[in-house]
Amino acid sequence: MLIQQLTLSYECLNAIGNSLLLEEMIEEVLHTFSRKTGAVSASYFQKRTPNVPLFHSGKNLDVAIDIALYDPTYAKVIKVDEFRYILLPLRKSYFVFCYKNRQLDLEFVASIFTKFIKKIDMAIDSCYSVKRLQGYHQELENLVDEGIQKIHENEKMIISQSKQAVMGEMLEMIAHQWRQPLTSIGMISNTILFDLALGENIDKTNLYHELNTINIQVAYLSKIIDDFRDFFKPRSTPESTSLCKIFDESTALVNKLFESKGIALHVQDDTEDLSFITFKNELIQVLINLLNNAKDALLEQQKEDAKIDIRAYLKYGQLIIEVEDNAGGIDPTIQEHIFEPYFSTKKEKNGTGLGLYMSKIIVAQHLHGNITQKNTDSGACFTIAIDLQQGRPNANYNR
Amino acid sequence: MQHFFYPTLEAFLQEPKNRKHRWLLLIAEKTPFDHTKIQDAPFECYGGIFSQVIYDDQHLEEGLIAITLETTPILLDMRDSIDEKSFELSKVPTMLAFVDGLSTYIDHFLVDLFNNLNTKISLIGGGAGKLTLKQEPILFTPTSFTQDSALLIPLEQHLSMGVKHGWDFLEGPLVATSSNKTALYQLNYQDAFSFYKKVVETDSGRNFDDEAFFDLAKLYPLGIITVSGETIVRDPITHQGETLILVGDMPENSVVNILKGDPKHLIEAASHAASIAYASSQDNGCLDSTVIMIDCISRVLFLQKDFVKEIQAVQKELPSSHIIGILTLGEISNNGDTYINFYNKTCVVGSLC
Repeated sequence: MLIQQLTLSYECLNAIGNSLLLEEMIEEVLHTFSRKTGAVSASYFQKRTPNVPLFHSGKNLDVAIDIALYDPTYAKVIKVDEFRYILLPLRKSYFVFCYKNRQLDLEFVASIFTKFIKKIDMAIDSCYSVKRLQGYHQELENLVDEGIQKIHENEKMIISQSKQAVMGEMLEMIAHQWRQPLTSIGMISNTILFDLALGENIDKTNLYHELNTINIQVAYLSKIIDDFRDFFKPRSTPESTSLCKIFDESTALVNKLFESKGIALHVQDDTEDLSFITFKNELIQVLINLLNNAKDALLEQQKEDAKIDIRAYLKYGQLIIEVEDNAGGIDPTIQEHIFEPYFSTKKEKNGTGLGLYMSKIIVAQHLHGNITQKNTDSGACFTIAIDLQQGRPNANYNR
Repeated sequence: MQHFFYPTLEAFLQEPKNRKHRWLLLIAEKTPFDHTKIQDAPFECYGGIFSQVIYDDQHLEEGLIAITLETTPILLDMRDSIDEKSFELSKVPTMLAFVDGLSTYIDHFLVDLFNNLNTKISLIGGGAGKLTLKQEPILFTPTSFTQDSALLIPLEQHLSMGVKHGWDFLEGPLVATSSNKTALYQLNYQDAFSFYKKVVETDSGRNFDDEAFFDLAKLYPLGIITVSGETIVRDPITHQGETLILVGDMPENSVVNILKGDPKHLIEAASHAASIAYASSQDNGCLDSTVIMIDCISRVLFLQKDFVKEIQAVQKELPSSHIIGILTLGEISNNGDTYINFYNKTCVVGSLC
């Protein structure tokens, strides 16, 4: 065999199966085979659609041979008018190469092409297999996308339910916060009314003092409204704040309620007045949720020395906040489920089962941290760990 | 088709009789050229700048050949696909094709051009460009002066051609195991430059470290083996580290030989190309023809003062004809019956009748 013919075999063989995309693979075969053999055009047909080429390379010439007349099992040379063709049959398809050059030994070229039939068929099968796999992959991707979409919709619904639940708790807190100033205002106005009813002369200085007291109480009531409204105000970007401020605002929202229930609240901040950037209201929401859960557990246990400890400290670049009660802890058989949605031990008391689930989502997604729970000697201890070195809310922090 | 030689662009533009025609200008690279003068000319001029021009038995670094045109040339951007509308003129029997010889889009363009031409058209041409081997605007129309472009000139005459190179086998066969367009990365799975360097230095007794790359590489081109037995020569013009940069594409997995030159064989090849063109034109009943010689500039660099002998050898085979020609960066010849090859270091002789 001449070096030219060996070269043709080598170069054509190397053009087969270089892509798993059918179009790319066939186009490389068409282009290389026709270029190396001097074909003026080359087409690829499927047997079920013999008149329409699936892929084409070279000049746009109509194939002037009736494929139906031929059913070869090997590459065959066919002469029609000024052109010669090589018909290369495959299992379900075929190639047609068209030649105008009369010098070339096409019988020899056809014999080389015949040797490639099995390899081309295997390459085509591989392309179709990959196409099927890509179809399955796409179906799976669609299913995953649908699943994710459903999860997002569920999360939205849970968040909405959680907000309604939080609103209920907040109203209870507001009620407790308002009770004392309202009582105070009521007593002052009753005293004034009583004096007026008795026809007593009202000392002007005294009246001024009483009205001033009412104004102070009204201002206090107004501040409570502002605090709660601020808490519910959505924020899209993190803000610079201090841990001290977060603790102050959290305890201010609940202290009256807790006082009325006889629950002592202790805060120990060992972070040396840590300032950092975070979603403040979200962190307060988590803390209040933990405090309310602790309060409910303490009331259920009817503890006389009921207390909740909040501790904060820094460890390995993380801000650690612990909320621990002395209500005896959580039943170990349900401990692994407490962060799941709709899981509640307070069903009889209108527990939604969303508080801890929402807390976990907020800590993970907004605060780039995690929340865990363990039982201690006295009760349940929830730990929030927020990485101060990484994550958007903690990108900058100052002592 | 009339043709004239002018020593300068000004001499051509100042000639009053030239106003009657549309012109193709083949300009030698050392001819001072200002495109604004083409823009301002009261008649249409198309053309390109080439390393040298051939006029009768001379090859000249300065001066231009002006050829009258009956049709309007088309300037195409080789980076784009060819618009079918541009090919109304492809119904003509012959086309001159000049491309930017230093463009990396030549192969892509020639494939596209082949697909859009009829099977009966004959094509002759070559790569415009200067011996600085620096790519710059090189082809022009009255309104444009561009690079990465091609200028196509439809002709009503019939063309007979001969193509030969005359380079001899030195080493091979080798496989271009890694390549992309004009960059050859590996030969036989080894770094291309190191492999090539070893073969060339062993044969020549010279060293690439002691002289400019092209001074030695011009003597040792690569030849792509084809099934028809024809060898398509590729000129290594430089190297970037271990990569050889060629004029024209080297398809991956091509089987190649390293070639070397013998002045006698090169001149004989040119003579053979001319005799083939002449015989073909005689078969077509041609009595008077214009001979176009498209020859690679690196053959001039190789043959040096003996290159005149190559022109004379062509002239000897075509005694009754004037020779006009260009020395190019790559040569084009095609009869419409197979893909358009972009040759290097090759002599293409065309007889227009």
